Amino acid sequence: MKVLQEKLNFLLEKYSVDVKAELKDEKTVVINGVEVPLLAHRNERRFLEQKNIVTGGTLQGVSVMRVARIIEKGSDIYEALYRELDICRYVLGRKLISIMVMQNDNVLNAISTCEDGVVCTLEISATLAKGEVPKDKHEIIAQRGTCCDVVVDAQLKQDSIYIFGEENQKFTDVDFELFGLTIEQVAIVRAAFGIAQKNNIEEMKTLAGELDQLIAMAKRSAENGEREVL
Amino acid sequence: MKPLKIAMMSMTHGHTRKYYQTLMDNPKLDWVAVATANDDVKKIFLNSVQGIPCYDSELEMLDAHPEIEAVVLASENADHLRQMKLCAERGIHILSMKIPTFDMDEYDEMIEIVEKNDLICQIELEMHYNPVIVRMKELLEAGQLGKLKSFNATNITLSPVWAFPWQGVPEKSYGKRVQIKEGDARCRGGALCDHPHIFDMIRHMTGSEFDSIYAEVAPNIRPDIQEEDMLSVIGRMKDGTVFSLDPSWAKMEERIPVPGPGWEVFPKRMEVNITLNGEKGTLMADCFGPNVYHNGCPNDRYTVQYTYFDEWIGLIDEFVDNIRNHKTPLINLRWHKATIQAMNACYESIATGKVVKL
Repeated sequence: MKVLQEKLNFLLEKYSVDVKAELKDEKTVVINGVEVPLLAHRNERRFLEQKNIVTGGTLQGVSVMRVARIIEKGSDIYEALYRELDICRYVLGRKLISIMVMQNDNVLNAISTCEDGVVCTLEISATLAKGEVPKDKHEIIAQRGTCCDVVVDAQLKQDSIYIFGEENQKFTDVDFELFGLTIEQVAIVRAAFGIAQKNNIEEMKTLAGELDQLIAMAKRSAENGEREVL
Repeated sequence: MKPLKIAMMSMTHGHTRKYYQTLMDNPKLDWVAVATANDDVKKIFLNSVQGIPCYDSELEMLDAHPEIEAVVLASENADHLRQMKLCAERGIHILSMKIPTFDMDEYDEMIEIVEKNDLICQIELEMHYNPVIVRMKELLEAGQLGKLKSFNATNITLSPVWAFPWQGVPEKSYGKRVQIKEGDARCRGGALCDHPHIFDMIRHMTGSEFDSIYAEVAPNIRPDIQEEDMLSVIGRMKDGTVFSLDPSWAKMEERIPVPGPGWEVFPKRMEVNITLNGEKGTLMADCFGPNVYHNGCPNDRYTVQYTYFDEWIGLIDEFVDNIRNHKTPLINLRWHKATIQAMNACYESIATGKVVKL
C-alpha cells in the first residue's frame, strides 16, 4: 500500500487536487475521513475502452456480454463475481435486474439480465495455483459488432514484452505516469485519484450498495436453485 | 473388407459437403448415388462432385440401386423420421444428422424402427473424432485436474439460415412452430437446434447425466429471423459438475447462398472452446486450430482460415466398422436421447423462466 499511496500523492500534487486521500486497502480509499469503495476495476483501460465502444455507438444493438474469470485457489468467488457484475453494468451502461447462479464449491456460473433483456453470462472459478495471474475475458456481442479484450482466435491475452533467456520473463506496462505498477495497481491508484478529483463519494457508495444487493441475490440463488429478481 | 455401398439423401443439410471428400477417398466406401431434395442443392452438388449418379427422388434412387447398404440422411430435421422409415423398409443402415428429432414420441418411434429392423443408426456428432477432444478426455481420465468442478463451453458459429434456409423455418428445424416465450415473437428452432455438440460432450467427458438446466434467450443479433440466435445455458450434472454452455449463432456472416470464402463478417466463423475447472487446476482448450489468417479476397477483411481436422474420416470409419461387425455406434439413438432431452429442457426453461429438473 505504501508504494500505491506514494503514487496517489504524486498525482494529487501534480494535478493540484487539494483533498486528503488515503488508501485503506485495495478496495477502499478514505477521503477527508470518509471511507469510499473504490471499484478499481472500472479504471482498467480495457474496460474504459469497452464502455466507450458499447455506449458510444460503435457497437449497435447489444445482445450479450460474456465474462469468464479464473483466479487463485482459495480466493472468494463471490468477490470475483462482485467485480465482474460491476464490469458488466459499467461496460453496458445498464442495470442488472436478475441473477441465476449454479455453484460447485470454488466455481460458479451465473446468468444475469438487464432491464432491456440484454443477457450477461459469468463464469468464475478459483482454481489457479498460488501466484498465477488471473485469466479473464470480456466479450460483448451486438447486432453490429463484437468487442472483446482477448484477440480473435486466442484463449489468453498477450503481454507487451517477452524475454526468452536463462529466465523467461514477461512485462506489461500500461501507464507512463505510474510506471512500475501492475495493471491492477494502476487501477487502484487511478480510482482513488478519480474519487478525490471528482468528489463523487455518494455515487460510489450507491454503486457499491447496489452490488451488495446483487451479491446477496446471487448467494440466495445458489442456495435455493431459483432465479432471483430485483 | 468389401466396400460399403453408400448413398446420400436430400443434400440440404449444412454438413452435406463435409462428406464429399471422405466418400470419394475412403477405400472402405463405394459411393453409389445421391438423391437431392431440390434443384438448388442439385446444382450445388453437380458443381462440386462429378461421376456420382444424382436423382431427383429418394424412391427413384433406392429403386434404381437396390445394392445400397447405407444412407447418409443429409436432410432437414423434419424429414428424418420419414427417411428413416424409407431406409428401414429396405434394411438400409442410417447415418443421421446431429438432431434426429426434437419430438420425443417421434424419437421413440425411430428407436423402435431401428431396433425392430436390426439396423445400425449412427448419429453424426463429429466432435468425438476431434484430436483435441481425445487429448482432453485422456488428461481428465489421467486425473490431471482431479475431480471436475465445472465444464464451460462455447459452440458458436455464424448463422447458416441464408445458405441452408430450412434452419430458419421453425417447422423444419424444430419440427413445429412453438413461440419461444410469452410476449416474444420468436420461435424455437434457431441456434440451439444447430449446436448439440457441447450438450453431448459434457456427458462424454463427465460420464454423468443432466440434473438441472436454466437458460435465457438474449435479443437477436439478426432481428429479421424467426428463431432465437443468442442464448445462454447454465446447470448442473448429477455428479455435481456445474456447466455454462453457449450454443449461439454469435458470429456474424454475409448472407450468401453457398458457403465459401467471404462468408465471415466477424473474422472467425466458428468456435468450440472448452474450459474444465477441476480440484487440481484448469484446462482451457480450443478444439479447432492452430489456424492461419489473411485479409485477401473477396472482402479484404481479416479472416481466420481454419486448418480443419477432418473429423468425418474417423466418423465414417466407425460407421463402416459398426455395420460390417454389427457393433452399436458410440453415438446411437438411445445414447443421444438424453442430449436432445437436455436441449428441450433449455427451451422449457426459456419459456418458463425457471430451472428445469431432468
